[in-house]
Amino acid sequence: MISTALSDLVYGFGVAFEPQNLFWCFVGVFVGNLIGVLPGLGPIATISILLPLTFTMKPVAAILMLAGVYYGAQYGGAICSVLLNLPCHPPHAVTCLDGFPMTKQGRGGVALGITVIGSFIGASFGIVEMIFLAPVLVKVALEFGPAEICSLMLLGLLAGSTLGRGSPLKGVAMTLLGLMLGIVGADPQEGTMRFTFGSQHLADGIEIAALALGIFGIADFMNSVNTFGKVERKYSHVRFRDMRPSKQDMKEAFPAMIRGTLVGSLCALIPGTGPTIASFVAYATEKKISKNPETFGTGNIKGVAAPETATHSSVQGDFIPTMSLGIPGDATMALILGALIIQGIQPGPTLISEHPDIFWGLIASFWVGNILLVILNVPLIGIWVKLLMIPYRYLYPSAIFFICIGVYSVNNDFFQVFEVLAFGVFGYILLRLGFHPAPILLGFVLGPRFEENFRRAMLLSGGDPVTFVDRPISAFFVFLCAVLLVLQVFFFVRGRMSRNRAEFDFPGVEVQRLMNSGEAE
Amino acid sequence: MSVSPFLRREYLSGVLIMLIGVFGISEGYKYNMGTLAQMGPGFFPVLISGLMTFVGVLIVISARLAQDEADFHDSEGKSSQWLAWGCIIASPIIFVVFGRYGGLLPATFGSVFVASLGDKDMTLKQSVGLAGVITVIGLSIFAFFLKIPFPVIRGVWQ
Repeated sequence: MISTALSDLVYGFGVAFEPQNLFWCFVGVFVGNLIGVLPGLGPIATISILLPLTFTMKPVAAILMLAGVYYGAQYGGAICSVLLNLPCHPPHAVTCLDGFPMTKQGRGGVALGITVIGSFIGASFGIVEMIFLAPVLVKVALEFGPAEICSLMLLGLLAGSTLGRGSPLKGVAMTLLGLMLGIVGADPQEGTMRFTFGSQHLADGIEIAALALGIFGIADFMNSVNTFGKVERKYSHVRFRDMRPSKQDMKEAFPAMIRGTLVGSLCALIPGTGPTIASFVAYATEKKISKNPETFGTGNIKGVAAPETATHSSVQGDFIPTMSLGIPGDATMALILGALIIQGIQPGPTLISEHPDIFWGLIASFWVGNILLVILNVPLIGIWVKLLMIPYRYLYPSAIFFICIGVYSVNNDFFQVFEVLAFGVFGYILLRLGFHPAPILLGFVLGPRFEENFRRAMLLSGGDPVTFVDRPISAFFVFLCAVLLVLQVFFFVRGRMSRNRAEFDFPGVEVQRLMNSGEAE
Repeated sequence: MSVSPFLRREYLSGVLIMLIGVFGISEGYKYNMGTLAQMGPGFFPVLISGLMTFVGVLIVISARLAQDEADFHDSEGKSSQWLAWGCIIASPIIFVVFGRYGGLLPATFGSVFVASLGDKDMTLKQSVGLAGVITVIGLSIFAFFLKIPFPVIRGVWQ
């Protein structure tokens, strides 16, 4: 098995080193690193802006680039958290807690150095995990019929909506909304127009770039405009030579990195738990097992190493269910999956055998990209630090223009611009009502395939819904769904009973608390 | 009876989700429902909308039960930014109108300029400067490098 994996990997490097692919991979990680550093523009918005540009590119190059933006942004996001104390990228919010105190002590460079080392270790482990695990998953998934696919998707959707941030019920509501938006357009089997209200523009469905840019671009700008206070920039002078951690630092940070890697790679495998949760769990774990937990929050190097490593191993691992099963774990993965679908590639277990260039090329490009990122981040740290000075007031008006021209260029049609605007305003209303709109994208991307498989499964069983619990694999997924629901009810009742008691004995509560404090931003 | 801001927000959320659900059901029923074995185009939309209505009801009920305001702070303390919101909404509209009748150059300049007026720290000079810089960058990328079909100035400079 190892030898086939190795020969596939060699093939992948061949793909990744094709000059065109190498170039787009570099563009991806560079842009990703850039927007990661800039406070206020996230990877989802950037990937959606770039999405229309990829329509004319070859599928491999397009995916390498979009993926590069995603993991490149994680390197940049850490800089922003450590030096400015701005948790602008959710996975790095927890890094602020110990990263910024280190900066204040003049050890910001060391914190960043540890971050880069940890990132590379975490990412490497995530990639290895993907090389060995994805083909195994595929072998299992190839046996799946419509009923299994359907209940697996249900599990993915349910996990994606309940395990994320904020109220699980509201998460489910957002997933359902996404499924509903996915219905718009022609019915896949009979061609009946649904939810189009007679508009020709909606006949092909809602444009994924318009939806994503509306809810993650415009809505987010409306939310953040004029909220960035004066940012403390007096500590953000870091030079290359400040970044080298001492032997003592490494001795402390290394075990934390290993633990972070494990947490991150586990979180990657549970659908719905992406890098954000991984980093919070890693931090909470580190604090829990520490002999002196009171040092956390005052510049403990482990508090930087563990969550950053976890983030990166989870970011790479996130691609496993996406590429092998066609089930994205979070909104960013949903977008990358959407890009594949636009390229005419059917995601799912057959992807690896039908498009080995995409799968193995992507994996090889992860190595290439991560090495490029280390090169970009260590000697060139001074340049990124300078970019931190770009204020938000220059950023968002430029981004709105790129959004407009981006969606316009999808079909050279001004209608999409109005679509973005409508989703932007609607998305902002949802934000103000306390919804987290990320699951919308998950539902939207999975919706059409979910409906198709649901209808096919019911057709095969002659209209008997028992088919979903009759078949063992499908029954297992349905069982997991039920467990998720029961757990949520349990948490709700428990939270209600212990409302007035300060009871933080159990790690889930600690994580939830940390995440809520990160959310306050 | 006065309602706490948390409850008011949760009620509004629940009602919004319910309304979307009810709307979806009424629209979905217009399409052929089919049978369980042979589902028509209306079945899935009605199913999803029905679930949505149900979740909307649950949101209202759980808000009443829980009254757990521990995680409630994100929309509090946030002042209304009507000018900024107006500018952000106006920007894409300007882009379309100027783009439709003027071309890419006025559309770029106009949309960036208007959007930037929303920030309270932005001076007029900075707005003009930013719009100018982005116009140059935008034109070089989209008109000269990518050559998207969008005249720079309609009728004058294609």
